[in-house]
Amino acid sequence: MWAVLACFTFCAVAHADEQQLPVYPGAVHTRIGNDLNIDGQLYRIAYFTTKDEPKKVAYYFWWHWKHDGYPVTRDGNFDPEGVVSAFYTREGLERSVIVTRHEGKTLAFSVLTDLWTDASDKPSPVLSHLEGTLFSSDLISRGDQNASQQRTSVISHDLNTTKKSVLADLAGKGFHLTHQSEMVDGKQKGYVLELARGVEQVVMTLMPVDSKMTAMLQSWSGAPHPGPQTPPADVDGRGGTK
Amino acid sequence: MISLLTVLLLATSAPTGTAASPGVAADPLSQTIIQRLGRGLQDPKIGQWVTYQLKGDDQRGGFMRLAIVGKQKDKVGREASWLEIEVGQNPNFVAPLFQMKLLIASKNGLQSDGISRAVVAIGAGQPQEVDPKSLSGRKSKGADEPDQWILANEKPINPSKVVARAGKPKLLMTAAGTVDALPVELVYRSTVFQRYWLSKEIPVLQLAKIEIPGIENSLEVRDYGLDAKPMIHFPDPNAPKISLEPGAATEDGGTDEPAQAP
Repeated sequence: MWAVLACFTFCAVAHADEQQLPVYPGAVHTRIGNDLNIDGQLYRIAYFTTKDEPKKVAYYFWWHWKHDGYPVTRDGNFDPEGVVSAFYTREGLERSVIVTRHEGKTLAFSVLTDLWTDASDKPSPVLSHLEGTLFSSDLISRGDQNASQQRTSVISHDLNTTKKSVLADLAGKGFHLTHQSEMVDGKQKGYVLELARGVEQVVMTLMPVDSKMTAMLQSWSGAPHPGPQTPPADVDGRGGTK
Repeated sequence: MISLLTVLLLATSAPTGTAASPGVAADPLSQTIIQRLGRGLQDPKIGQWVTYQLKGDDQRGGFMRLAIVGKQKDKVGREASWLEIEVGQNPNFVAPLFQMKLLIASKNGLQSDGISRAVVAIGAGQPQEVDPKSLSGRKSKGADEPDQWILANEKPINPSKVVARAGKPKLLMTAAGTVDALPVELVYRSTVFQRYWLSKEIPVLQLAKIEIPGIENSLEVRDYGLDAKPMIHFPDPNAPKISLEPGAATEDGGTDEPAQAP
């Protein structure tokens, strides 16, 4: 969960009218992406920091939702981590707040999850799905003209084999390598590859997990949204208390 | 709590020809609600609604809302009403945990073939329609059959040994105010196993209160009115429907298991 959220932190920020995210008074909330499609489920996410303790932040939301009559769940002891969630059963929405401590402050992620929509967005065929993939998760940012997509994969090949395979795969799709750089993380060496095809761009980060396994993050952007999508109004049009 | 209402739809629609005990629900409170609905809807009017507070002996409780939100002819041309039934933790019902919408033939109620359409939502799930094929041809208690009872220990009672003792109408204080009510006691082997109060002032069920002394459960009207709006929306007609498949559990008075239609 934290790894996924950390990934969101570096995604593009956009704006849209929508069902509200949970808001903590006095804190500046920063949206992470637009409507996010994570493996077919739609999310809206923001983060905020505050000097208040995680327990106080969690209690605020718990009390607020409970008082309004929503079923509420808690997970964790909020010392420092925990999640508090409310279920908007009439609208098919879940609002959650995930709290932890980070650099002396409380860091919280405010999440709105659409429980009803089985998002039919199809991932761009540009993103590589290599033979030997052990794990793959797609993140699709919706609602903006130049949609972006990310795919996180773990592949059961060493770094250089994976690099060779993915470059061959994208070359077959008409992409050419525009930039390549090495990335060093401790004793590990990886690659950042940039490829282009017209206005489309793919940026890839490859890092070895071990000698026989490689992690790959692909980011694709630069073209209109490729697949059919449910308009955000479907979620926002359900009404109910925000 | 959810089982309380699930049985409304499921336990009362035991497949024809099984050895099930039609009309016998999993707990005495829901049993009584089913029996009230089984007598048909008395003078149903669009907008009638009532909420009840349910109390258990272990301080657990909940709230139930019943509302008449529409009328139409059913598939065989009978006058029918759309009845919404919701169960939640909070009386404002902003987020009910169970929602059910039934098209009930007003005169038949939950008796044989009384339900022609049903929409169900459990938890945060999307409302889904029960496959009408699952509903048709299913049989529950007929109008001429006696009510069936179970005790707090879930043992069924021989209905011929239950004595109903009606008292004199009197004022009953409830959370919804004081109403004229007729007290009724159900007695089995000299033990009162249920008390209920009927009141014409209470819409939908004309039921003001139920007490189950053996398990200290009660259900009491909390609020009622005449301005109900539909709260459960219809699913997309093309969405998958829930099918009810015959289950072995009906042998012991349990329910059929809901299953996803292919």
